Amino acid sequence: MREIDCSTVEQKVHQFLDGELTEREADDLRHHIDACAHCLDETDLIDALKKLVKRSCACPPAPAALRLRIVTQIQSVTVTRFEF
Amino acid sequence: MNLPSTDAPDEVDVATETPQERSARFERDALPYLDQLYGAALRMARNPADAEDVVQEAYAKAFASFHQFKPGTNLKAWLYRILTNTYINSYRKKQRQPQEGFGEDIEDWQLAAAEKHTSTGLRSAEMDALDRMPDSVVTDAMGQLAPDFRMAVYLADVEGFSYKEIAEIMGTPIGTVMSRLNRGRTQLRKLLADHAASLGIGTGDRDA
Repeated sequence: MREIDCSTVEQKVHQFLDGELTEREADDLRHHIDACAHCLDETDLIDALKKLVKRSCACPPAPAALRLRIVTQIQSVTVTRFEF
Repeated sequence: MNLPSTDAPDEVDVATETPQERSARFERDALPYLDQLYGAALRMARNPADAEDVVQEAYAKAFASFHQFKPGTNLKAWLYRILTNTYINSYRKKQRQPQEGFGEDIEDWQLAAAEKHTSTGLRSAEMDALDRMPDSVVTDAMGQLAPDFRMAVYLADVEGFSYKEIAEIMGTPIGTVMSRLNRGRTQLRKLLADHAASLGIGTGDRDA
């Protein structure tokens, strides 16, 4: 286990929450975060922010008319090319 | 030993397939991403009519260059890349800047200072405020980020793309993706904290 400080956590917390650290790096971070109220709060907040963005950006499905236009477009292009 | 090949069902000879086969393959493989791409376009364009135009144009471009797409590689990321480029080109063409609150020109030290300022002593109240934040406030705040920051945050948090995929989609090095994500989230957090403060939430005054 490698000892790390708060500034290292600050630098790497996004990678940590995005699952972009190696297991070993993530363990080093967890080790520090578990024992540091400041870093725990910061990590929880960014994690909550990520979840909030995901929840809020749930979008309605594409309109049926758009789907139809795209399919029609594909098929007309295909026919045009085939006739050449 | 006869190992089953995992990509056997998708194996296709792009050079010899007929136009009909190609369009059938495009409809089968690319069209299922329509809802997701439309969702991303809505967040980029911030108005449904523009979002539809961008998605339709992106699909037309994707179909036109589908013979260049290597089957078995990451189709979703490929489609997102085309969508992102289409969006960027279209707003440049229209000479219309999307609404921007913060620009990319804000220095890191200013953001760090803002971050320090908002996070001092307000964390548990801030967490409380985040939990109760209405979706529309969050999407409005997302809309105020610079487009590059907004895309990075959207691709990571809503679509769950890896940094490597986001780098491919946005055509930037991974280091740039990390910096956009970091700064985008920091700005978002500040915007949401400011909104909460304007309602008297998270300032510490409410329960006093």
